[in-house]
Amino acid sequence: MNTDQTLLAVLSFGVGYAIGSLDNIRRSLKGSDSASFVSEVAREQKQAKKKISIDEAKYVTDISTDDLESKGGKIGVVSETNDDISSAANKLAQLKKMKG
Amino acid sequence: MAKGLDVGTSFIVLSSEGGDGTVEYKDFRDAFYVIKPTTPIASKMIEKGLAGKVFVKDTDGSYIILGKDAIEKAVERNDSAKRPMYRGVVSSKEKDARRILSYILKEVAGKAAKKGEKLVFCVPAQPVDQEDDDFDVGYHEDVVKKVLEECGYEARAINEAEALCYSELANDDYTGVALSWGAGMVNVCVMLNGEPILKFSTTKSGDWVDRMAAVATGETDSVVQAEKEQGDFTIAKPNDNQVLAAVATYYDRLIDYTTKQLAAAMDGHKALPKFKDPLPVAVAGGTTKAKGFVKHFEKKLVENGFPLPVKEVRHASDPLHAVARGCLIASQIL
Repeated sequence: MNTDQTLLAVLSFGVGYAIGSLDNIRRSLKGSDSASFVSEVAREQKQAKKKISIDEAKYVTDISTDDLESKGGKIGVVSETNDDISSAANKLAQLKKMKG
Repeated sequence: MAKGLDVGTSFIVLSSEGGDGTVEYKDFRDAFYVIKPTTPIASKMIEKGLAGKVFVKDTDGSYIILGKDAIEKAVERNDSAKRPMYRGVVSSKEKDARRILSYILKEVAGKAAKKGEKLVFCVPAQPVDQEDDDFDVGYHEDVVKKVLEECGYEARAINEAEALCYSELANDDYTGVALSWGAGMVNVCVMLNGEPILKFSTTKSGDWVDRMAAVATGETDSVVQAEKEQGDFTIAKPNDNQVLAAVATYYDRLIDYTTKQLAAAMDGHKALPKFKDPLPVAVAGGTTKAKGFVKHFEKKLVENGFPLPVKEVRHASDPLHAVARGCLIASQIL
């Protein structure tokens, strides 16, 4: 093996070593990315799981009043006042509209 | 055509527009009293004695007297009338109460003029002074809604003090504070340009005064309530009548307690903006009808460090109907 051939062999080895090292670095970086990606997904899933709750509002069963037999006078005392509520309602409607 | 409905611990009030700029109210006292006859003869006698009163007969033969007649009958028998609601909501444990509230609501609201007629009713806010599993506003709202929907209404709930703001703050661009002093609780709403920004309640009001005065004097709650509503007393002033003297004292304590709770709940609250102008404070509800209420409340607001600038404390012109009026206004736009 002459000097040129030796140099070429050393250079080839060097280039191969460098490419191999870079590939290792790339793989390890890719590995850590996917690891962090996996942990991120797991965290989000965990958070999403926390938000899921069941509606425990008490169910309103049927309320029958048919078995109550009305006997006495009528319910309620009726009175009337002079009061035009339309301007108050219009003003409130405008404010609500402005708020969007 | 739309309607408003104040579903209160002490009164249920329906509001609707009459003709030519009028508003019609239908009030009913939210109370009942049960008499269970022991023999068929007693049953006949009781029914005869109840002539002219508002009552129903149950399947087990008992008579359920309703409204103010229930309170009168309870007083007559040195007893206390029952309430289908307690501290602003229907009790989720009391089956009878729910049935009787449903009956009263159906009778007061009546059938909708047409299917889907709008009706806005009020519900209380979550209390700041009590953690109670029995206090379930959601369940209460669902019960009332179900009953009203059975009557053909498209029912929608708003907060009680929010309704009071709609009724009393029109001339202030719907900006200010409103306190609805019902029998069971005090509901509070701070409003800015028609938008409620803070709502809460406290769990002591007129019924608490009655209960405490009853314990102090050895009378029943219904007797105290009757004396309080008919008698002459001024808050925090002495009185020759021992029941009214106790009532006047407990009123003073109630106002002191409530204004302290207001200050504690609102001081430094993140939802409150910096108001540039002093705010009107509107008060309404049966509890505010006592002599000297507004003056005493105003004084205690200052003493106990109310955190917002106050322009004036204003008493609603019709304190028993103001919330129902606010619900009616809301029904026109919501």
